Amino acid sequence: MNTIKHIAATLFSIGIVGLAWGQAGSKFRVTGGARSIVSNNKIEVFDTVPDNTTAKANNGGYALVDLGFNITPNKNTEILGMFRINNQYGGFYGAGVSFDIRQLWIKGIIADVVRYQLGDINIKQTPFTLYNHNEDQLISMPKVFDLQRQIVNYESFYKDNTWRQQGLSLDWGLEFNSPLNELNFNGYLLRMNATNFAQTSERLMGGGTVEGKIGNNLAIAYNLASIFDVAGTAVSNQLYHNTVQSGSFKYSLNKLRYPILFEGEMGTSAFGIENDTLSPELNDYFMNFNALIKSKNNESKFKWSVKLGYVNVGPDFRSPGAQSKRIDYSTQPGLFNRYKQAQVDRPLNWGDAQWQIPLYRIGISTKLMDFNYMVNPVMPYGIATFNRQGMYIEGTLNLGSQHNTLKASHYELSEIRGQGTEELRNFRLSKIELNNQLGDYFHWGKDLNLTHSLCYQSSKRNSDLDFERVDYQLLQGSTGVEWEFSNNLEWMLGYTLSYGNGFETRAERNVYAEIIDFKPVNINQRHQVISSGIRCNFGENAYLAVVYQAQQYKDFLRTYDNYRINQWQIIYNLTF
Amino acid sequence: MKNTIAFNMKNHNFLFISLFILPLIVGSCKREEKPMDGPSLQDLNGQFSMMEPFRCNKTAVDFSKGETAEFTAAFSKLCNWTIRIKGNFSGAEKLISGKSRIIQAGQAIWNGTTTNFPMFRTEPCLATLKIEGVTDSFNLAIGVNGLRKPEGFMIADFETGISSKWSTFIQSGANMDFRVKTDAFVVEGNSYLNMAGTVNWDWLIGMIDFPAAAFGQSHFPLTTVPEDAYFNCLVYGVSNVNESRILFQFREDDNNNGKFDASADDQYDYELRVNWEGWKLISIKYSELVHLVNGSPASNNGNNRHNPNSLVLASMLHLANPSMGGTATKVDCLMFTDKKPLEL
Repeated sequence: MNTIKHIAATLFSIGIVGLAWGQAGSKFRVTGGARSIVSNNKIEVFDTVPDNTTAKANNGGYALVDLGFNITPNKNTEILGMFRINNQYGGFYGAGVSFDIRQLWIKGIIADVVRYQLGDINIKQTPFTLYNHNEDQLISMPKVFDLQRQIVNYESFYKDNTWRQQGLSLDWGLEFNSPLNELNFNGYLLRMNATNFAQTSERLMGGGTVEGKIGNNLAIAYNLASIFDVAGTAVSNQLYHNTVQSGSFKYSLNKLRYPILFEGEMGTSAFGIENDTLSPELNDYFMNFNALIKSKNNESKFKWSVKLGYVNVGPDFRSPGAQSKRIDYSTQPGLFNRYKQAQVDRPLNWGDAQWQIPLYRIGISTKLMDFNYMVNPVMPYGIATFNRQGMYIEGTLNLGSQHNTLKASHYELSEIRGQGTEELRNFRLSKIELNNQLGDYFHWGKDLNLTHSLCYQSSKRNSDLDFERVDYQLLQGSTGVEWEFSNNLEWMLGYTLSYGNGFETRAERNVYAEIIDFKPVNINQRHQVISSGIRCNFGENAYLAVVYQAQQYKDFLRTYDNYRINQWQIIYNLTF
Repeated sequence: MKNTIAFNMKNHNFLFISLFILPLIVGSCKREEKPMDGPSLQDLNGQFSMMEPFRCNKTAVDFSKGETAEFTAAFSKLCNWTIRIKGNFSGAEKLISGKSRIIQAGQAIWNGTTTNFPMFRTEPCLATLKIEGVTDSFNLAIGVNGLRKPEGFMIADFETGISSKWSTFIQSGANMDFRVKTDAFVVEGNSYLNMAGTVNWDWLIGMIDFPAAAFGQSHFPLTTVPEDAYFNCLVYGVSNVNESRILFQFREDDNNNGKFDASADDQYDYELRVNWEGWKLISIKYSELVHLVNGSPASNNGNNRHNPNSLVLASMLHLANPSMGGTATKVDCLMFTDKKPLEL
């Protein structure tokens, strides 16, 4: 199999290069990156039963190269083909080597009007139709942790809240005289899954946005995101459909003393499975309106902005494009997956959720994904979380240009429909972040950056009945320092924790995401990670870092599950 | 100047959106009115208590007059409940079950039918309400003053013995006991037909023909719709004996000459293997009967249509494998019903 892949990759690269050279006047360049990680990991388990069945340490690593051939055969066309060579350390005579096609796309302009892209597409629309929310990374992380986050983002193609899908997208626009200045169209057709000719039909996602700009101040848009099965592509006649439609607007008042931007979006969703008598038909709506007021850019040394909003997302609102999560909590992290004498699944810790690549998925899921109470129980699907309504406020303050930044936000939400009771949960999410770039601020000529963030979440449901009561609080925080102690040499230190305490009821759902049962959840856990490392930069696009990290999972109710993982890593990363 | 005009236009547009379009959209959005998502936590986790006691609308009921007994109760949570009514003398049982917070009037009705045979007599009964997961049970006394009269065409209930208008054939085997009895095994009324004996040279132990003429009819008074006609019979499986088979035969007069003609009329059969213990009510739709030859489906010689209204002769044959030795079974209440199986 490896041989076949090897040959395929070689032929592919030869073909691409040949094609490039064969084109008179064409441009050709190689892009990509290289990375190598060597790690040493140890786990310490605090179980009273002696463990003689699972390994407590491992060493490993890999080196990989992403080689992308970017060809511009003519001024209107661009082609990228990227393949990956990955070599696991310890692979014997190429046994640990794999070749994969990582990216393949063609894009261009037809008749100087219509822009198109075929193949791999990074795509997003609005936060309620198609959007990759970063809901499980609420707090910003010190740079020592951000190294691994960047690797996750690169591996999973997370960029600007887009989802990586395969298909076709088209863009074109029209310009008019006043009052309608512009009319922009964006359309796409994506393949969600292929048919197996039996029970699984071909599933596509199609949609688009029509946006009109009226003057300099107003933009209105219609958005459509629809996932549907294609009839006749499988033996089964059950056809899934989920359609989200919305209207959105942006309106700015720039001539006021403090400019104001009004934004809003509202729409509907419709979900069902045709010819499936058990499937419910879920129809609901959402709305999200906010106003942003801010200081003028050139007016003051202190720049600030405040956003006040209202959100209402119905309990039956379903939007896979906006409610797919990055982390699939049903998978295993890839490091010490099983532990203890009984070889049970190791419970995830806060560190796993931040940077274990196997947990992260690429692309949209039509199945409602589970969430983690130690990560984000208040808005597990971002602003598109269903069954939420309430107000929110967000603010930023820059003290002395960009060197000291304070960000804060607060969400005061409640359920719209109770779960298992008519009593409603109340949710609270407060977040504050402070970044100090002391080196720049004091003109030391070298970086000394401090990062602090804190996030508090709570869910509460009052009731006269004990079993209906919910009272759960979650605190997440991080602090770190990054000090450039010599040219291109940085010392990094970071600490982060997630502490959850209280009791909740977890909704058990069937395949249609209907609640069929509730399970009580008692949590008193503290997960914390401390990390330190030295990074050596080779220009802007390459670095070598040595990092030590200690992760601790502490469950105060089930102390026999507690463990600690210590990790040494050498990370080399290069992009070109 | 252009900017000013544009600004004014945009103001108007924004006002238009704010004042007209958005309220229209908001007003047009509808959300399903549901009190909650998922099952009630009260039902899943709440403490059980009786909100209203277990009651019956009658202390004594006469089913022969069409009366019914209705039970009611209310609980603090959703429950799986069962009402068991047991005859003090007969031991007959009627079970009514459901899942609800409230047993409402009209929900748990006893019309005199039986779940576990024998059938009820005119006797005192005890109704017991059992709740799944609750150790306590709740009792009520109820008297049966009159028995339910089954609706349908009775072929044989053996209350007056074996009619002389029926034709019988009983082998002369060993330990033959092919007669009507009135003992402790009685299931309905006061008597039943016992069929027992050992015939080691033939499958047939004994049989009875029930001609329509025995009931003063040229044809059995049944519906023309085969899907609506049901044949019913109470059959008793005796423990620790060889397997009995009961073959019911239904002969039609398709050519309307007043009798069954094997070469020109249809015959439908139903073979029953008695492989259980105790009394059991058997019901089969007439349209599901097939013609059997030596136990295997075969073609008919008549119009090949089920015509219950053309039925002229019904027969009951008690069979057993001759190599197996003696066997025994009991039957009672051979009956046709219309549109639904017999309820006893």
